[in-house]
Amino acid sequence: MIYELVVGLETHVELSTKSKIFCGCTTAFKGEPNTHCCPICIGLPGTMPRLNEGVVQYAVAAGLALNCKIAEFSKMDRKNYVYPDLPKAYQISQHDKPLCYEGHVLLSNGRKIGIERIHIEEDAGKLIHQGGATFIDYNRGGVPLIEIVSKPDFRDVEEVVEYLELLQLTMRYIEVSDCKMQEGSLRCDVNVSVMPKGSSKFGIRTEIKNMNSFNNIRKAVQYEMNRQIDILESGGAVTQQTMRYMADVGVTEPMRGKEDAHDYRYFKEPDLVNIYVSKEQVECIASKMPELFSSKLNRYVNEYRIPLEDARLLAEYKNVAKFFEDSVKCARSEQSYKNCANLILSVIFSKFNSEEEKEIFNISVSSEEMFKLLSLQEEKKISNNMAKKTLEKMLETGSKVFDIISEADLQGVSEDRLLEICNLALNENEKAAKDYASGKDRAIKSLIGFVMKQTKGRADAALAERILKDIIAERKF
Amino acid sequence: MIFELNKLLKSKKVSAKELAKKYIEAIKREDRRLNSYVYLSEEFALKCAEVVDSKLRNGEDISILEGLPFTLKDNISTEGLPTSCCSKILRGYVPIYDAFVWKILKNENSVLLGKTNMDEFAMGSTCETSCFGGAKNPHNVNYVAGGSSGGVASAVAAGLAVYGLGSDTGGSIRQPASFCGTVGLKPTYGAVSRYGLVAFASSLDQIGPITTTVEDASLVFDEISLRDEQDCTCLGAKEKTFSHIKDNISGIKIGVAKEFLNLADEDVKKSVSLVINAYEKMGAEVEYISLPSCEYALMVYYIVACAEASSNLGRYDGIRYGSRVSSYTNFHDMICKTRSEGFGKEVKRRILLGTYVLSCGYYDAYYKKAHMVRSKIINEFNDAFKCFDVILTPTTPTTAFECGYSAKDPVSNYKADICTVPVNIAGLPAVSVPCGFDCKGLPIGFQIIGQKFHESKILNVANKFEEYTNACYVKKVTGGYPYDI
Amino acid sequence: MTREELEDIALLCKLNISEDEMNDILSDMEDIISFANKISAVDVKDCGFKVEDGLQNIYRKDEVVASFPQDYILKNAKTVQDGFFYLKNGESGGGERLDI
Repeated sequence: MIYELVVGLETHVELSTKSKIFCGCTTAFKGEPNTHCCPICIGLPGTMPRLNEGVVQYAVAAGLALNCKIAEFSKMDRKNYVYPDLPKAYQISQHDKPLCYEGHVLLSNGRKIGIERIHIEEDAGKLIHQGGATFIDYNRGGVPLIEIVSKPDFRDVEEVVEYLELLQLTMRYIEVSDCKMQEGSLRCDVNVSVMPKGSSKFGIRTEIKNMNSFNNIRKAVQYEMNRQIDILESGGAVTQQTMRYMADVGVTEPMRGKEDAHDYRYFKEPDLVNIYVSKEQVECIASKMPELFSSKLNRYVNEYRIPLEDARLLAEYKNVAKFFEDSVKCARSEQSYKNCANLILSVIFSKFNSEEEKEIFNISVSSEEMFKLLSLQEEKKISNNMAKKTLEKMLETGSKVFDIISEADLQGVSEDRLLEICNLALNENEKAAKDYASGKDRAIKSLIGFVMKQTKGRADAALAERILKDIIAERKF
Repeated sequence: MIFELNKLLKSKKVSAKELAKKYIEAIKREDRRLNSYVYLSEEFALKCAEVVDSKLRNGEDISILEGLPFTLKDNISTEGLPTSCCSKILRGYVPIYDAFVWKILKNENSVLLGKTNMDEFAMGSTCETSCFGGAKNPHNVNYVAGGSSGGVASAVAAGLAVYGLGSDTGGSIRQPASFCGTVGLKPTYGAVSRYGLVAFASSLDQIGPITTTVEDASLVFDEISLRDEQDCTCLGAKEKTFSHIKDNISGIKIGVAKEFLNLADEDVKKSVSLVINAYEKMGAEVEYISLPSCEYALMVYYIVACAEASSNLGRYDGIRYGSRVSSYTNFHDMICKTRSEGFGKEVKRRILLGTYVLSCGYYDAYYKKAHMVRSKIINEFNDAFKCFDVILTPTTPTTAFECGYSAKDPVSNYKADICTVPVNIAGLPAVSVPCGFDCKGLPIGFQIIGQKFHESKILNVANKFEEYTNACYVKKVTGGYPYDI
Repeated sequence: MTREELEDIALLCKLNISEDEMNDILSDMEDIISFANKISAVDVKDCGFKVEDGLQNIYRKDEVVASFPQDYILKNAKTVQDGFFYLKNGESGGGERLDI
């Protein structure tokens, strides 16, 4: 039988508020163990939580970015569960009244992935197991999280990865999270089941917990899917259970013991008050939201006429997009947009060694200087080649455009002088001239090269080409 | 008494240090008998008193509670001083922060004598579930001080503290106050910050004073009822009560809850009838009213309180604070053993019940239903307050229990809380005031219940009774105060 | 309540119930539960209960305040090591956390 994969995701995203969700301790990553803590963080008897307003705002922004509805009324609940990294023996979370609900994400293949809900909650501390002992650090305890629960709408593991990449991009865009998988600020639980292709009845699912790399997600889902198919094919039934993925051996295995049997005994957190988010507040948050990736992408393609792939690269990181948009703000021609995109993608990106550097986009060229350069290029005062070389120098030395390009450079080459040089080129390269005349189009390139060399790159290559072609036709080589 | 002692200090007839020493001596002398204190902070108290004395020497003014020796129930967090909730599981625990109420009093240089005895985690009505053994009733040590704030009530009644702060979840201030012949005020839910009060049932718990007079209760309440950002359910009091305490009550409407009166012993009934007569003579309009839904308050109480307690007490796992068993095989084993050995029987029973009513499949039948019934009870009180300014009941159906006495089944024990529990369920303020003695010489108290944030009104009504009878029942029995006023 | 039910509940709230206690606690629990069960008979048609009622929107600003010194945080722990709360011995953490 042919089976179809069904996947749903529960994604935890750590919010980048300055302080924790229920106290004023910092949310900074790392730090000496138990130094980002206060009596609230370690659940001392008598302590009480105080909800961070920023967490609600960030979560609403995340909800809006994922096309969710924002609940006018929501509340916090206790999820009771005993484990050493949970100092109160309950996690303050949201049970039946999440802050955001009914959203969706659009994938590039046109499929819509439904978002069931987004709720806010606190992160747990960290346990380190070593030599039969456990070390506990509560620095991470109380760092705010949103849990984004998707509908079981994925039918292919690549859809899962694209969704997560899009989530990552979007959260970074609206600056609610840095979504660093390696630091655990984006983690997800993957629900996997299979069903006969064409069926509408889902199979029994398993949940793979705590996945923290795209690669492992790909492998784990693939493995789990095959495992379930094997069971079904041999006449068995899949057991609904929680699994862990053992990355070193590439298999999934069940992870629950008897003492882990749980029943969260949710009830409303009596130490916190209700949350009401008015329409006005939602509008206020929406009005402060930056333009999102998908909208930028559309604009770059449709307005600026940038090819889709280039547009994606420019829009992917907010700082890059901002530099691009600032640089072309006053530009008049489509050609300038394209020139700018080319310069960023070819010259500036080649200076970066990692995606992170790209994201930070720390360069010594201001968008004003970039605009000057683009203007010279647009007015054909400098050639494309010269623009590239100038930008390279600017990046290296931090100099301004006119520190590098001299007045003489800008004079360009007059048409008379260019005519003279073109004639010289033809005289000295008679063979190339004849080759071109006999139909070898490429031969013109070496003639243009000669002209550019003679003018130290200042000549307008397109003009030179036209003149050369005219003379060849006239002189009948 | 607070007013008079404040005057004595200001006029330098007695120094704060002398006063503190008198109280400490009295505790050392008397408390072997009463067991009201579980921790004595002598050094700390004397240091505080010293500060007050030097202020007085420098001619500085002092505030109303400054320099006055007092006590805190052992579930109110005190930085640097043990806070054990009288439970083995918190043995050795010393908080690293101060409860909000203690912070206020500390800033006022109040002289903390020590921490007082209570039922383990405030679960009980005899003080006998304390891991230190129960506090005794100063009127007769063969009887309990009541609970859970038995230690505070016993100490205040015996003159071992000028006043004390207790906590009240289902009657834990008012019942021991009544048993010991003292005044106990349970404020409106949200009038006093719970920050630093070790949680029993978060939606019911409230801190309040136990004092010898209504006037004192008013003075202490006015100091501690400030808004606290650390407790977002706390709005603080809406006004100072002290300025209303002598208001005329003629024409005031008092509803007497007949169900509660009918439940009471003959002696209690008689005493409370005399109170009613007194109020009528003072010009109040007294009528009998019925609050039929209060019958269900006890069920609501045991479901809600135990559910919240089961969650609040989950944190005692032996890792970050408190005691821990020494031998175990793994984390699960360690925590189960620590909790089983650390918690007493009553606490375990309530954790089990609370876990049960919240567990899968039972939530709607118990917890959710309890909240609906809770609304019904609140509505009934609201309706009553449309016709009456305050509601009057006995504080307890009986006077203090004999030590060691406990009904065979836990339910009968719980039923003793019938008059006090509905007040917590509805989040209302109520004060217990002494009004006589039974045939065994044990104090009787009555309770005045008011609308939310109407502490002024109930204290006014209570104070009028005290004025009228000129009664200070404590004095008669306990042999006076360490410092005669 | 059956013995099995009680054992499940005890497991959830991490309490051991010894053989000695078992019958005692079982009968206590039965008493309390049958008392609590009376609540099912209460008519709550017009009780007006709404989860939405009550105080709302009391927040803290997103501002960092200084944390406590590490030695304060660790002060009450039975065992600490290198700035961590520490639990030696056994297979602590034999399970993995499932809920976050």
